[in-house]
Amino acid sequence: MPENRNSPAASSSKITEGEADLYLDQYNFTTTAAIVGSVDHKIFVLLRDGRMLFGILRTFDQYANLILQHCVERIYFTEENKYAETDRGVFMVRGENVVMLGEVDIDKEDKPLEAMERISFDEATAIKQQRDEARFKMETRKGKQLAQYGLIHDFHKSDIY
Amino acid sequence: MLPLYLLTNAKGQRMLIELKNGETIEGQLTNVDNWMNLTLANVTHTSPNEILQLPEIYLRGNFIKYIKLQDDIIEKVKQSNVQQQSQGHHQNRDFRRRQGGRRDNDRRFNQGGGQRRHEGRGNYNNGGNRRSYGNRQAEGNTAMGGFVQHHQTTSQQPTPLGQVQY
Amino acid sequence: MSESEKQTHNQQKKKFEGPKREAIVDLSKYQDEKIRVKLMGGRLVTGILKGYDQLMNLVLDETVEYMRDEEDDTIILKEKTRNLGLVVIRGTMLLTLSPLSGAEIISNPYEPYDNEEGF
Repeated sequence: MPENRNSPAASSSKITEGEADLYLDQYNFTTTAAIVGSVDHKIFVLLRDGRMLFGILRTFDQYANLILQHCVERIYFTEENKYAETDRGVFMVRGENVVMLGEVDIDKEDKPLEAMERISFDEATAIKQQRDEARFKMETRKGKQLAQYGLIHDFHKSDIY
Repeated sequence: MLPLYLLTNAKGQRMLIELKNGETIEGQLTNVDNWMNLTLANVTHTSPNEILQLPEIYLRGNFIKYIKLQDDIIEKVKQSNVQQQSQGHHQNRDFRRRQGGRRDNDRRFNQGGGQRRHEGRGNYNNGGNRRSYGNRQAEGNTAMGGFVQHHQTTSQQPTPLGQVQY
Repeated sequence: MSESEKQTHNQQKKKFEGPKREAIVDLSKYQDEKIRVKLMGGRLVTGILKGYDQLMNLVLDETVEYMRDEEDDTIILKEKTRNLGLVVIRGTMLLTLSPLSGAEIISNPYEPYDNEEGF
C-alpha cells in the first residue's frame, strides 16, 4: 500500500487512537477483519433467531465467532415503546448465527431507553414467543400455499430474521 | 486470544450451550476440537419436550448457536496468559504460531506503519495487547476503561445465582 | 533450562493447549451400548452401537426412531416410534450423541428448574 507510506499515521512517531482509526479506515476490509476496530468496544449483535445482544467485543476469529463480555440481552417492542433486558455475562456466539453487528455509542445508547418503559424480561420473553409463534404459523401457511404453485418458501423457526 | 482458544482453556468449567434449534445443554466441558465439536459431562439437556440428565454428550460444533461461559473465564485465561508472557518472548511466538493466521494478520495491519509496531498501544498491531485489557482498564483513560465504569453504573445488577432464566 | 523452569513450562503447555485436530470422543466405550443420536433435520434415534469410523459414521442395530408431531416437527412424540433395525448413520448428519445408560428424564419440563451452578 504505497499511498499509506506518506499518511500522517505512518510518519508521526506517536499516534493517537483517533489517528489509528483513521489509518485503518484506509483499508477496505470486506472480511471478518472489518470488526477489528470494534475490539474492546461495546457492540450490538442481532442473531438469526432475533435475539439482540449488547456486550464488549473481546475477541473474534475468521468465522466471526465472537466473545462478548458483560453481555446484556435486550428485547424491544418499539410499537408499545417498551423494552426489557437481562444480564448474560460472558457469551461466545458462533459467527454463522449472526445477522449483523455494529458498534454502540455508549454515550447515546441510554437516551432512547429513558423514553421507553422497562418491563420484566420474563414478560417480554413471553410476548415475543407468542408473536414468533404467530409469525411461524402464518409463514407455514404461506409456505403451503406457495408450494401449490410449485414455489419454495423456505422458513425455519430458528431463522426468522 | 481466539474464541476457540478461550474455549479450549475453559475445559472443566460448566457452561450453557444453546443449539441452533433452541435446545439448551448445560454441563462440564471435557474436550473441544478444531471444529468446536464438544464433549460435556454431567449434562442437563433441555428441549421443548423434556429435560434430560445425561452422564455425557458429544456435540457437533456446527449445531451451536452460542455458549454462555462463566463470568470469570476471560480473567482466568488472561491470568495464565500473563504468566506466559512473563516467561519471555520466544514462547509467546510459539503460541502465536500455533494460532495460525494470526501472524499473517499482524503483518497486514502493520503494513506501511512500521513504527506502530513499537507503540504497544492499539488493538490492531499487537495481538498480545488484545489480551491485556486489564492494564488498559487500569489506565482509566481508554475508551474501554471508561466504558466498564459506565456500564456497571447504568446496567442492572447481575441477577443472583439461580434466577437467570433463558 | 533448570528443572523448575521446565516444570513451569510444562504447566503452561498444559494450560495453553490449542484445540484438538483429532477425534475428541472415544466411541469404543459405547460399543454394543445403547446410544441416543440427534440428526440434522430434527430426527431422534436410539440404537445399539455396532460400529463406527473416524468420520463418526455409525452402525446402529435395533434402531428406534421417535416420530414427530406432523404440524410442528420440532415436537418429538415419545410414545410414537418406528423400528428401523440395522442402519448406517452418516457422520456428517450427526448433531449430538449421548449414551442412554445413566440418562434420566426429569419429568416435568415446564417446571422451572434450579441447578447448583445457577446459570
